[in-house]
Amino acid sequence: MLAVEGLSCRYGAIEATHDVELTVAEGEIVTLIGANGAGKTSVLGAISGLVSHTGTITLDGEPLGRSPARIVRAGVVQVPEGREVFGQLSVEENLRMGAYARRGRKAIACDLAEQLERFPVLGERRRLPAASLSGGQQQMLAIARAMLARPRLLMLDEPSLGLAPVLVREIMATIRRLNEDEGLTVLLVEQSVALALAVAGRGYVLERGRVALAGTAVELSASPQVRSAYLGLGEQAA
Amino acid sequence: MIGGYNLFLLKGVVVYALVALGLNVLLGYSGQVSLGHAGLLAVGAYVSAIAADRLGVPIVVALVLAAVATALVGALLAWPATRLSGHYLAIATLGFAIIIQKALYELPGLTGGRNGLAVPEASLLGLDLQVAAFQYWFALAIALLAFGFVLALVRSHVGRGWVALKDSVPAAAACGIDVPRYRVKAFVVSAALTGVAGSLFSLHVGFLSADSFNLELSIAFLIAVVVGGMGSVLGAVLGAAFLIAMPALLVDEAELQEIVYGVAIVLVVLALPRGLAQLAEALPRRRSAPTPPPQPDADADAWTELTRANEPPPPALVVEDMRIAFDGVQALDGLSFSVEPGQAVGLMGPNGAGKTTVFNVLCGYYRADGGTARLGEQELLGRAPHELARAGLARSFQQALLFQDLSVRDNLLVGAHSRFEAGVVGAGVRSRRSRAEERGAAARADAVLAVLELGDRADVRARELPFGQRKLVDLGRAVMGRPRLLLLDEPAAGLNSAETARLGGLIERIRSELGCSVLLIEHDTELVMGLCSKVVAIDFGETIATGTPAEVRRNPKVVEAYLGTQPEEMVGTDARG
Repeated sequence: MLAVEGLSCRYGAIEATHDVELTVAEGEIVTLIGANGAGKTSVLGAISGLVSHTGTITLDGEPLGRSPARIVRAGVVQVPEGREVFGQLSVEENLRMGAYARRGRKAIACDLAEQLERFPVLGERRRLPAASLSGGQQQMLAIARAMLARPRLLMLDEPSLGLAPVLVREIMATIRRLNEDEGLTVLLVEQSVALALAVAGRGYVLERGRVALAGTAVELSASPQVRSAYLGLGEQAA
Repeated sequence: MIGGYNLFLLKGVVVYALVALGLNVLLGYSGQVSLGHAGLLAVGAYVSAIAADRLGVPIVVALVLAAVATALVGALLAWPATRLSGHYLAIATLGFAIIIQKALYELPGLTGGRNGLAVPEASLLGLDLQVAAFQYWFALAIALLAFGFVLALVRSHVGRGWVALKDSVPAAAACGIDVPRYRVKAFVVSAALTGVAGSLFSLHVGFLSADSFNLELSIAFLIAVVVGGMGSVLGAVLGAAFLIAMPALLVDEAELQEIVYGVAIVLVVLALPRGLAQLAEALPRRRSAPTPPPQPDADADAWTELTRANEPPPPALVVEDMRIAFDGVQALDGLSFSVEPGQAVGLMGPNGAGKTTVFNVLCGYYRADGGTARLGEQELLGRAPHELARAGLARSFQQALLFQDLSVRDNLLVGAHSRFEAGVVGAGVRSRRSRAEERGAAARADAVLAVLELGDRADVRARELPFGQRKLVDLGRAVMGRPRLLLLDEPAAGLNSAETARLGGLIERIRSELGCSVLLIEHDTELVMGLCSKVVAIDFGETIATGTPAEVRRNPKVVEAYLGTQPEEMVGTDARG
């Protein structure tokens, strides 16, 4: 479905990613892992049209383009790092912002009701400002908001950031459910490599802006390189 | 030799460059907008002219009087700045300028009222300052002194403090910066410079008319700062030159002149967001020397200087019955816990349990409704954040509130703010003490960067760092003030397991070598287990369990509220977030 080839992103003199190549097929969960500064967020930003880049990005063989609004309309939607909910808008207004690019009031109302049902805690707080939600609730809101754009490919940037263990599991279960029940394709960036590899089918390891390793989640979990560098499991544990 | 009209224009550039410099200190560095600088210029000009006329003082004395008087007025004007910011402050300064202009009209005995005031002739060392060339050299000499002063000032802890409070007030306060006082200081320095400019302005024009100190002039100064380049000392000169040169270029075509002026402003702002000074960035830089290779010995010495190996252990923290409510929601409901000297204590709980609120109350951001918190003999509650920083508290922020416009090294230097004793004047003239303090802090910053393994990022702007490295810089900044109690808010958020393990070693090293206690909010259970000898679990603002990490982890309440009911279902043991 999504194919990225020869992707390089620059910030001034610094090259954040170099010649990155990756694919995501329909119905997959694919994870991008790597150290801080490896370029994971830059890759998502480039796909979303938020980070200027060179290289080709195609969706179903068609160039995705560089306009963030059109990319969202094409069905590629990002849940940003750190949630980035609109703090002063209410929960419901935040959700409606997710459907900003869509037409059809009825369909939007229907999707809104569906998300509030999926995340009951958001339903209870639909009139409250998003800033009053706890971190976990804000993360759910950010995911629900992205879902209102009717994504074909959902990209999540560190959804577990700052969440209590019980909530991390809930978020991961939600991602898996969206994938299994609705066939949603997911590209997941996650620092908790163990969790990411448990949820994803395949993964890419980025090192200093380049793809250093690619494979199925099972292969990556078994790779000595991943075990020592990202899972924090030394040789004695391996 | 330049003469006549061109020399007149050059004098104007010098005077306006001084005003732009003063306004830049305020706007470009401390982030405060003033629409009242024409009023301040008037105060300087009239005080100087009246002192020379009525008291017959020499021009240098008149100039100093103008600077002092304008600085005092600036302090008065700064009073709203301690409680206002942004648009409200701009409007307040606008009101001030209107009052000044009105006063000039209404005090004819002193200012000549609507008839204006002739500026008395002045001489210096026998040179007649009515001669344009002498006047120019005099103004230039004064301006060079002022520019040297400001250049030293903005590169010192004072200038970094201004940029810091512009970027993030909570983080600046956590570093020990008295934010309201620093805002006032920026106003006073800005006003003094404008007062000096006023004195030179009176010589330059020879005749003062209240009409000329209008809103248009205040706005022209703002244009000079923005077009020249905010936060750039060179920008003040370029902006002033722009202000004088643009109208002078097409002096015979009045209508065309205004159009060209307007278009030029729009073009500069669009093409050069950092102003004309941005053009200078493109010039090849003559680097003084390649950055010296890191010196392990020097770093080790500076790190030793930070540590407290030979000092008494840090005081204990005892929190009793801490309470606070927001809009009827009881966020902390009688929370009690303690941190023994040198101990690392974990604060755990679900999202929304009140963990960060505990930090915000301890650090003085929120006023508790009740309870006590003692660090040794000192009561912490009810004191301002910057006082608590001086009392030995340092914190990191969940969102790593770095000063985005400052380099990584400068972020760390702001962390050492409470250890600087030099004042504004000392920093501006580069006094011996100020230089020694800067050198010491720079060495300690390099040492901390070496320990954090961030040495190669020292000159990178904070905004360019990925989240995980920002968190590390935030930690380093907290360490720079030599805290006795270090409050860390989710330091491992955004780090993977291997990086988290390194961070654990780092925190342990800081705790043992720096001789401080640590209170840690962290969702990474493994990190908490590895670092802390005690864990306090809270929910709904109350303690639900206290004990060793292993005890708390098994506590049924903690399992239900925080870990989830079946911990073994977790993937591995990596229950982090």
